Amino acid sequence: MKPGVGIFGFTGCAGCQLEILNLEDILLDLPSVVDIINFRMAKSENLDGPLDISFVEGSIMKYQVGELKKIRKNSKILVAIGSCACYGGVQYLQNFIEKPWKIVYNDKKMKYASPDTKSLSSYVKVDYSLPGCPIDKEEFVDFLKSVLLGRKPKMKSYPICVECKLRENDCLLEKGTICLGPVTVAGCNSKCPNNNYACEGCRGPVEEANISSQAELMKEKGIDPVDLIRRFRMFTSGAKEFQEAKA
Amino acid sequence: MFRKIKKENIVKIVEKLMKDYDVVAPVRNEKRFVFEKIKNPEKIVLDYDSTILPPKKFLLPSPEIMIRFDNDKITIPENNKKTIFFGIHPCDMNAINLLDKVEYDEYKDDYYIKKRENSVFVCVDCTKANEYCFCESMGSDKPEGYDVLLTDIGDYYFVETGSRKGEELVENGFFENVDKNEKIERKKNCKRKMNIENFDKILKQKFDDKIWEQLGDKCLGCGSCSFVCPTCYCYSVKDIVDLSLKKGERRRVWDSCLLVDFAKVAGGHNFREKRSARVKQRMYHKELYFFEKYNYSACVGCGRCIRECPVGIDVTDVISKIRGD
Ligand code: SF4
Ligand code: SF4
Ligand code: SF4
Repeated sequence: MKPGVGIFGFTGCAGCQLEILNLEDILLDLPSVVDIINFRMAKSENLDGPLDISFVEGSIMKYQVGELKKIRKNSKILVAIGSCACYGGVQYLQNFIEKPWKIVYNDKKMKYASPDTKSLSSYVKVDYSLPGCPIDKEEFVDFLKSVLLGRKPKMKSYPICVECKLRENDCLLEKGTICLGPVTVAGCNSKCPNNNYACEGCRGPVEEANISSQAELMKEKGIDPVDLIRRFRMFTSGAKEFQEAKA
Repeated sequence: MFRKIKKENIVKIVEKLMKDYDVVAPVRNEKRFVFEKIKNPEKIVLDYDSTILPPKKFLLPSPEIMIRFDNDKITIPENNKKTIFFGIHPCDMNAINLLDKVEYDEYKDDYYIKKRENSVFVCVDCTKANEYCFCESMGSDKPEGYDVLLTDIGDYYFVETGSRKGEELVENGFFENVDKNEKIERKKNCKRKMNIENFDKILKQKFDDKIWEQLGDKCLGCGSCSFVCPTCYCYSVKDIVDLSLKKGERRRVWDSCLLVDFAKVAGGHNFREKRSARVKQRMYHKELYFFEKYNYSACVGCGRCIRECPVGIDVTDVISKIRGD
């Protein structure tokens, strides 16, 4: 029996779901190995479950919690995909600002309170996380294959620098640019440094990320303390490591 | 055998060699240099300082396909292409001599051995040590194990051969006879030094020194130091399958003792739980354990790990600190 898969989206740009659709070379082969039970972005007939694996994108606002819990109940394995689902995403930043809506709307009267938005794991048990903004589609396929083979998926525990060094890129840090590669979990094949653009940490912290040493390094390169914290928090401010980061 | 070759003839000789060999040589990459399989010999730069990755990127490539499988059918990829490493420095040649000890004597790694036997090494003596190199301290500035050695003598390279392969290579019109056996003065050019006297004894005493904790606090665990090291050879193995789940390949990729899960075993126990233990492991393996086994330090002083470490962890500095210099 083919495993049943659901792909869901909550608060986010839907870019991670789109990445799955961008798997053009193998997209039409996927239904031969899995039953796509629910994927609203791609098909019109969708069932709630039962699901062997659900991939859930987006951060969660209060009113979405019930929906998320339903998915959890219907799924054997629940996977957070993308940095919104894993860490709350860019939108989590509002938690660090008082009255964030004021920045945009000034004193205009607001009909809604600022949305309270959080990662999936704030509300339900998450079995695996595939971070990234967006996810890396190859990593998504590798993950799927591991599950199909009945193997425990191996999550990467090394930083971007590993992928970068193997490509023999001229290190941006050495060239004086601030790069978050050393504290960011690998999995994107160092896309940004490969193109001479510093890693901005969209995939979130690597296991045992040495934040204080990275902060020292950034200060040596001349970053001011406010910017330093901002850099760390841009994509995954919901990550504990970056919440606790000190300049 | 001694010869000489005009510098302008280097491009011509490489063009000729390219008919029978893959030629790997240093070329410019932005501000630095890398070894590359040469398509255009004009791009070769022989007066380079150092490359980002060492020649092991061809001898122990990452990834290396170990087997291909299709259901029950298994094949080992064949590669009989002959390669000439053209313009590698003595430190890198000495690093290959050290890798030989591991890959021939200890493990008999057929993938390495095959490539090694199909290779010819044309070394070029180094003229441009950068601020990180300290090969002279390690004794690896003396070229050994080469097939051909080139030394810059102005408009010419002075040519020495070290093997039959090398002698065959210089048997052609591009290499001119030299009248008398001019003795070449090798210039010393390293600025950095490391005192390796009684190395083993001192390291043994300093196993519990507080310096390891300090380095552990600093290290980012990025693994760069070992990926760029010409004598680091650790790898891990993984299977890559297609969607049929029956067909694919087994690859080995470089691994590093600096990475969090290098010493993690099934069940989740990590034998080197602390970052300080990982930093220490690399230095101890280079400078002590390898020495105890083979009577050589596994460091050739190429300086790559110093240059690449984002937080400036520097083996020469560490050793001088634990010596109390
Ligand atoms: S460029 Fe960035 S990712 Fe690449 S090695 Fe340097 S710090 Fe690491
Ligand atoms: S330990 Fe460092 S200096 Fe020594 S050979 Fe390796 S990379 Fe070069
Ligand atoms: S290069 Fe430096 S920071 Fe990176 S693992 Fe090696 S010692 Fe640690």
